[in-house]
Amino acid sequence: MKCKQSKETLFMGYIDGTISTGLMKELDRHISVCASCRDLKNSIDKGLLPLFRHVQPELPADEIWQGIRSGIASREQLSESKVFGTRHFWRKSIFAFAAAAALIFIVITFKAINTSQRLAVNNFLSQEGHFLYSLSSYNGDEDFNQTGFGTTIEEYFL
Amino acid sequence: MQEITKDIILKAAKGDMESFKQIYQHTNSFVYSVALRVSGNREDAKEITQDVFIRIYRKLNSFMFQSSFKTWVYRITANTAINSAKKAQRQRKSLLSYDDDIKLKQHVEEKYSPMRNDTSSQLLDKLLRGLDLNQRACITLRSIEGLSYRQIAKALRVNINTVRTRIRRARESMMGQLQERGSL
Repeated sequence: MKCKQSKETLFMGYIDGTISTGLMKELDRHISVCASCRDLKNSIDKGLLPLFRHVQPELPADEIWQGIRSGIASREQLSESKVFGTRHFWRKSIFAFAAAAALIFIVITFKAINTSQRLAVNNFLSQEGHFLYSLSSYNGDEDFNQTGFGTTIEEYFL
Repeated sequence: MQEITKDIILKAAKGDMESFKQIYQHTNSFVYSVALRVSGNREDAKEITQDVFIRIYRKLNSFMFQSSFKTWVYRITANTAINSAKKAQRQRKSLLSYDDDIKLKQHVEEKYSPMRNDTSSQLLDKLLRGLDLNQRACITLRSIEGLSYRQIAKALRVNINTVRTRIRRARESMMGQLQERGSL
């Protein structure tokens, strides 16, 4: 075993306690002839290993559980309000859509009524216009009788 | 960490607080210990522990039993602890002016120097604070909580060789700190 391998073994398998007996024998053989690796092993034995050996389990204070419970409760309330908010949003959206559709329907209907009324008025005015024009253009010709006014009363008087 | 039955997990996932309390009782020591070693102080560890358990409760529904529950808890704990500690470090850095930074360094040096009089637990805390967060998490999971390299790799979602490298460097760094301060 060389120093590089020895150091790798000391820092990993030796500290982890997972080193095989065969590898341990090789390490011991190297350490017996290498002062630097021997020092390193001694330092690990005195310094690092006792530190990890004497670690006591840490237990959280009781108040932490209370904090977790209240944290969960407040998040559940928040998610409920989000769900309500989403429902409220959809309700509002549907209402807004219905109102917009109704408004469009009313505008189109009124426009259609207006158009048909305007057409009727226009027709009436154009008929009246033709009638007045024909009256103004009468000069007592006999042709007038041929044209006629369409009603017997009018023809009688004129 | 003790084994938790599937029945308890399923009940807790449905919102049964008693079952969730059982999960908490089985795992709280591990979660708090990792949070404490990674964050380096009890106040942050308390917040991280609460955060971890609230996350576990929220995510229980999505736990598919494809990996072991323990590995799942390890993962949430390690990631929450590392991320919270990183966030706390960033906040502290942004809050400190240059002068404050010098004062803090002096304070830290004072805290670190008299290692001979420390108990082994205090000494361990000081040595851990001298490591970067990823090394701290790996060494805590391996040398304090006794997880295997494979379990750590799964929990942190990194390559097993990355775990080995981090642990080796952490141990070398701790040895270096002990030698520098004359504790050997």
